[in-house]
Amino acid sequence: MDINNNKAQMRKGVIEYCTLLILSQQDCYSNDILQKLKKAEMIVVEGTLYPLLTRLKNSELLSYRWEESTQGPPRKYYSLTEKGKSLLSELDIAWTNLVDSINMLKSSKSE
Amino acid sequence: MKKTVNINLNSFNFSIDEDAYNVLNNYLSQLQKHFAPIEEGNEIIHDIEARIAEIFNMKINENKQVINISDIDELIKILGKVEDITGESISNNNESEESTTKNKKKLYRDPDSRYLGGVCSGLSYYTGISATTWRILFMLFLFVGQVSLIAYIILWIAVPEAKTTTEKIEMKGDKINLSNIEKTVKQEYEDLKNDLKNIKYKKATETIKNIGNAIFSVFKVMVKIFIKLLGLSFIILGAIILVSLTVGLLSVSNESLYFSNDFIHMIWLPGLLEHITTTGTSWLLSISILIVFIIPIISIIYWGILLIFKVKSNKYINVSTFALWIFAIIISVITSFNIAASFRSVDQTTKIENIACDSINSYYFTLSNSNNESLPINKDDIDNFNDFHLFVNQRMIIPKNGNISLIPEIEFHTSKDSCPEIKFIYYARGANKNEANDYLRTIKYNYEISDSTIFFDPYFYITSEKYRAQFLKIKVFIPEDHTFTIDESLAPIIDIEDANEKYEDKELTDKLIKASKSGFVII
Repeated sequence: MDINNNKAQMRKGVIEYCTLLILSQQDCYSNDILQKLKKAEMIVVEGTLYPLLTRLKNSELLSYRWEESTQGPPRKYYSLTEKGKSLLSELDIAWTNLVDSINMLKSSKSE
Repeated sequence: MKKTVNINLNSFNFSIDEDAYNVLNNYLSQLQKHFAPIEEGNEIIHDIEARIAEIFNMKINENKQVINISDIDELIKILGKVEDITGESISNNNESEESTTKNKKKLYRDPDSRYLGGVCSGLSYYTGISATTWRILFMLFLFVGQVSLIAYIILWIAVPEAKTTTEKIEMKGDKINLSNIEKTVKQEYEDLKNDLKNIKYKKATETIKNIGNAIFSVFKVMVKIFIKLLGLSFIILGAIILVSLTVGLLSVSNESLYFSNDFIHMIWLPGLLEHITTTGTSWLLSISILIVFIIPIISIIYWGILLIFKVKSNKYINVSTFALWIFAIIISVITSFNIAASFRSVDQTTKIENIACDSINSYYFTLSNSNNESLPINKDDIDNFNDFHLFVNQRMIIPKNGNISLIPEIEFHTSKDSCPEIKFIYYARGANKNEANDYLRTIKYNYEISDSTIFFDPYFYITSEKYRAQFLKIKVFIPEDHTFTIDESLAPIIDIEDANEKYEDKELTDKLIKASKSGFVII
């Protein structure tokens, strides 16, 4: 097994969770999401975000509205829907469980 | 000066260099092609275009108004290569597509753990056999006709390197091993069985469709197996030809090649051709002939590899190889015509030798034993083949140190003259009549007449460096009622004009023969 491949798969698994997390704090336009994900080293190339956003929108987890911009044409601002919020809280629990499980396995190993 | 193109991205106008435009256009259309079938794929493309516009806007200022190729390169680095975007979105998008990508293993060269071109490492992912095993196999076969060397180079050229993450995942995908093949075959079989089962429960119209589907899937499996087998047989065929050629060429220096009944020893083509043309031309022709033969053989192996590993062929390699092959054919034909031109004209001359017959009417023909060089006539007489460049049984010999020598043709006829006579007819060719005539003079033949015994040398030799189809025909005319004997030593070179064709040539040696009106008679 390739380590890079493993890492990429892990990242891919949580990228949706990360996106929902960012949007739960504040409505964002796609570039803001990009910058945050990049800063967190969750995404390598930008191009993968757009299919992801469209897919989340199609699953009715988020919606967008057009907002006028001072620098150019109107921008898409994404926000979480009710469905998205409830999924996020479920994912929060799942994540906590996952971290707990990992920690438990790690500590049992050291014993 | 460069031509620029105006483009509209998300309602922004950009001037872009033409070369950069082509790259960008290609990039976008590839993405479009991929996302088109997906729900709201256009929206994805629109979002990406909007982002591109933003990035371009950051690049443009008062001093720089045109987007150039390096901007595009940078852009693609930010957004990701087409394979990176589409690869990840496929595996994220829907489950059924994921399973197909998982199965889609492809042969790539592995750039991460390679010794040479990464071929062995790539093969190890593809086959599940370790890279070390492959390397040992390649090394082993290096000693059998260099097949593996050629196979390795072909693979190096034909198989692409795994560059992107997607390609690396494809490279490492499901390995093809026995259990996987079994799995695939089982899967196909199950599908087929289901198709057939469903037929019973479906309406008549759908039944036809299902039978069609079933036949189609059977056909698909058969085609797949057929293609793999075809590829395998291509490789085996190419390898066999290659091995037999190299083994043949290597061993021919000590052994022999047979062409019909003639025995030809050692064909070192350039060396052989030097006897009829210049050194330069002989090498040119030899090399082009080699290319003409070797390219199809290598191509067979190449196509076999392409078929088995589902690798796409490289257009540039195909075209350039084909061009080289055609070029080699043209060179071969031109040089051959050139050589043939130096054989265009023929000339001949006859010398007559009369034999005194005052007191004799019986003659003895035999092979001269004063043959100093003692060149062998039969292959059995040869002790060391390495003394000769070329040996054609009972026809021609080219010693390493010496002149090109050929065996003349000796014919016996009856005549109405009072005394026997021998006609020596010399032939030679050349680019024109004068040259042919010059070459006539290069033929040297020794014979001896002492009383009633005539000694013939087995070979005539030519003093010229080049062979121009020089030939010697000896016609012996025996008057009627005279008798003669042909020694057995002349058997390989005699031809008796027997009017009633009663005897075989062999029967006539070592016997007393009488010339009569109706031909030769054994007494």
